[in-house]
Amino acid sequence: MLDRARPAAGLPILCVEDEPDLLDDLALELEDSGFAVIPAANAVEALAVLRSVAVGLVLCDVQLPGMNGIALLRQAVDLAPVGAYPVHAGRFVFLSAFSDADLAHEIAGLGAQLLLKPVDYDELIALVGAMQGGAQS
Amino acid sequence: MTATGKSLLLVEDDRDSGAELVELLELFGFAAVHVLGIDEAVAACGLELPDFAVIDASVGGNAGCRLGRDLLDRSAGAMRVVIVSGRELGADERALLPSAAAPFLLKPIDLDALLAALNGSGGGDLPA
Repeated sequence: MLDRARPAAGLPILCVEDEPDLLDDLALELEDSGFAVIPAANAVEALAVLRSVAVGLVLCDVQLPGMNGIALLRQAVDLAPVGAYPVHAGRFVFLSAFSDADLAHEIAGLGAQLLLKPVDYDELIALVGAMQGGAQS
Repeated sequence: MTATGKSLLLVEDDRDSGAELVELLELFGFAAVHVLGIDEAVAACGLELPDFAVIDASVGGNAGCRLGRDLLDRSAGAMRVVIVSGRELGADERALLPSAAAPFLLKPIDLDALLAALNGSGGGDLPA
């Protein structure tokens, strides 16, 4: 997880996943690639982070207990309208185990990205790297 | 920034986001304590002042800057105070705590900027 060495490029990545093993795997893969990660097990935790800390992007499971990932996005974009780092849909990457055309259409319509599970970590790291690079410019 | 063992008081009336921020600050080596309001903050500083304070300007009915001023005065400037808020500060709040004394950061906070401000190497978001 995020440590004091801060080897990461840019702002940390908020990783929202309710499966603990997958959350650990995602964090390890991202950290091994030089990104700082803030983990969250659900949408409530994620929103608490987003209210206080700037993140470069949000990597988020679609299916979360309670509030799902899409609802999290909608609440997140309403946060901190005067902040220096407002959250917007283009900073969201969703993960889903289901290849559903309606879901993919909804996520694309919001301006977010969708990756399917099982996670292809090479694809994830490439996408995150491109997005973080863009976020820093 | 080397913060191992340095005490930090976070005054934040949002319970959940305060708890998350304290967790993150602890990862950077701070011995961080989170309180929700002015009275709790005053009580926490009763016997010994912390090395650092991060104060939401809006706590206690926009009394965060007043609290920061009081802490700086009590410590004779030895403490480092950072003011944070989801809104711009009012002129009266700026007058209480000019950025040279206590840098200001808009939420959501860039952790690197917060660490720089705590370290005295960042001027925050306010003009000098």
